[in-house]
Amino acid sequence: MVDERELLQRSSEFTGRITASVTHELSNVLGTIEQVIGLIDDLALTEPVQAAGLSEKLVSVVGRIENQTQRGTELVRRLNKFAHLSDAAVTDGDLTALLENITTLSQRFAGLKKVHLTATGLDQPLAITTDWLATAQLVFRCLQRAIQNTKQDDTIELRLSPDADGAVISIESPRGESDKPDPVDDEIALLAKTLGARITDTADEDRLGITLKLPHHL
Amino acid sequence: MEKARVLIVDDEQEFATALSERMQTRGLEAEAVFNGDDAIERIKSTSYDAVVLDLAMPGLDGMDTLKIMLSINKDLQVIILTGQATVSKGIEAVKEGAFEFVEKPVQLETLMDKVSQAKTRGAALSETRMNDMIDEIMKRKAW
Repeated sequence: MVDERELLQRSSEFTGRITASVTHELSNVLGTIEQVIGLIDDLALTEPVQAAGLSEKLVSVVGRIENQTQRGTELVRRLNKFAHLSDAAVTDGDLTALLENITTLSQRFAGLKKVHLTATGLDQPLAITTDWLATAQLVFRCLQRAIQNTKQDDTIELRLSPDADGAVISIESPRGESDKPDPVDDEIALLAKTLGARITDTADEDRLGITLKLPHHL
Repeated sequence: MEKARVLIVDDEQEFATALSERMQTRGLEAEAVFNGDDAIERIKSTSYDAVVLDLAMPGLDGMDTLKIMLSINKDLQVIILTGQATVSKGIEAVKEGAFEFVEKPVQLETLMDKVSQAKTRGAALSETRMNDMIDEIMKRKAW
């Protein structure tokens, strides 16, 4: 008999599997386009094309397509990494790599609110055992909360540091115009509980802040 | 230096074909096949300096193709192409005897470098085996 929790887990796995599979295919499509564009680039440098005076224009057009395929490839790579978070409920992994991916994927949300998002402490791998999808969701929710409560042009800082018991993630930003920023909501609290994480609201008069302490082993 | 002879094995036909054409443009003798079975047939009849092999293929997958190819020619230099999510498989393939693995999407220049390294390594291995064989014959003949 499948219980509700297991069904939710399977739903996440299902979404992840399909997304991972499609992103793999998309990656192949982009990889093929890159090689075919490379062929055109090679052709642009051949004597007949140069003699016709088309070489420079062709190289320029190829360059523009290349830039877009590289952009697409990078996005697909990140989405693929994200999709693989649901491969297993709890597993060993690198928290640094997860945060690097989540902060990059969150840049667009920050950009829409015209706030900046920076991440520090991501230069060394930090191995923990956790539920990676839930960890990603927790960090994302905290970033969303910060984005919603930060003034235009201000900067949200995510910082990762190792801790004797695991890892500490802090997310801080100057306080926005709202006197009453969103509280740490039920979703954040429940996710933290599921992950055995401790949350501390570190907001003061000037700054908004939240600290997440994640254990080495869930 | 002689042209490097390269076999590209990938079920993404357009990818494999475009890659082999680009390698040809750069002076390599490159050809493409689109499944593991055809790759095995090719290496039985032709000597390659390097095989560029995709891991994720339908039917006979890259890992099984690698094992069979190395059982036919243990000095074959195989460069594995892996997806980002299958890097661990790439490492496994190197443990099985592949020369190197490269993550997709791959830059042609990176692959050309690997092919060149594979050719040098293959030549060195052949020379070592040849010397060992000569030594063995000399010993047997007591020269």
